[in-house]
Amino acid sequence: MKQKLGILITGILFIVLFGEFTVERTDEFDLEASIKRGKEVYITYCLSCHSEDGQGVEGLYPPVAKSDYLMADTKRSIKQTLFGVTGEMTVNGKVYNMPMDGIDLSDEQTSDVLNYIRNSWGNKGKAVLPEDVKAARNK
Amino acid sequence: MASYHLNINNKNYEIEADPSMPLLWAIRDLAGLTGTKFGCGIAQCGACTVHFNGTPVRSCSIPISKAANQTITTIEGLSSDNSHPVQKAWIEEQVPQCGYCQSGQIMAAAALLKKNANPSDSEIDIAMQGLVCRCGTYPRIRKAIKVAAGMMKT
Repeated sequence: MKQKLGILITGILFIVLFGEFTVERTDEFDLEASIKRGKEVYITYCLSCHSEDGQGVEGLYPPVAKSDYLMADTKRSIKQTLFGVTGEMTVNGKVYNMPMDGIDLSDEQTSDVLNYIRNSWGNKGKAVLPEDVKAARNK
Repeated sequence: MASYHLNINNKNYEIEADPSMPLLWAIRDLAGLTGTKFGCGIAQCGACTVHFNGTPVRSCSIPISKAANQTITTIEGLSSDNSHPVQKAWIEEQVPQCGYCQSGQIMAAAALLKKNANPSDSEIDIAMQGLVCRCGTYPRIRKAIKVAAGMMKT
């Protein structure tokens, strides 16, 4: 009886663990891998203005490091990355006005570069998925 | 048209220009400093790199109105006699081929070494990424940056 109960519990445990494991594997977005890929995108397209440490250039290019503006609105960041931005913006209390051209990136590249800047230099943000980019792109 | 006060290489310039005139135009055509080159005009190649308060920037894409009253350094301002370690290393390693991109490369390298006195290969590659050399002098650029770093230590 005891042995049967043991087998039953082990079986249930196995199903629960294995079940969760498979669910996680399909649902989970690998943020770490995305951040790593995003660094390469950042170096190629963003670094010459926003600088290696994300600080930008005071008076010219706003910082992406510890940037209240960046972290406030993911959808806006996606659109600005893809389609560019003009006009004034206030970042960490300072007003910047420097046009940025949009960058021709895939949904995955956009998600990667945003995950990199949103999780570097003291920033901490929720993962931006390629699906989020796709949704914002087509709106 | 508006009047702008530019500080380029510790010299003051009073310049009459449209507020949207690229800083590069002012540097070359109005201040007469032609060491800084026009490459692509859209901040993609780095040939026009100058220092803006010490930071390397693409002067083709910065309006003069943003550069007023800031400290600008061009290749002419690095030294008066090619004695800056980066210039000396560039000569020692015979880096340039056609030379067109090189003032931008030198300005970017000088800014890198000011921030990082002993950069690794990958740090050099990251800092110099986006400075295009169609002659492909990249291996010599990397070597010369290391030589300059060595000169700066002594």
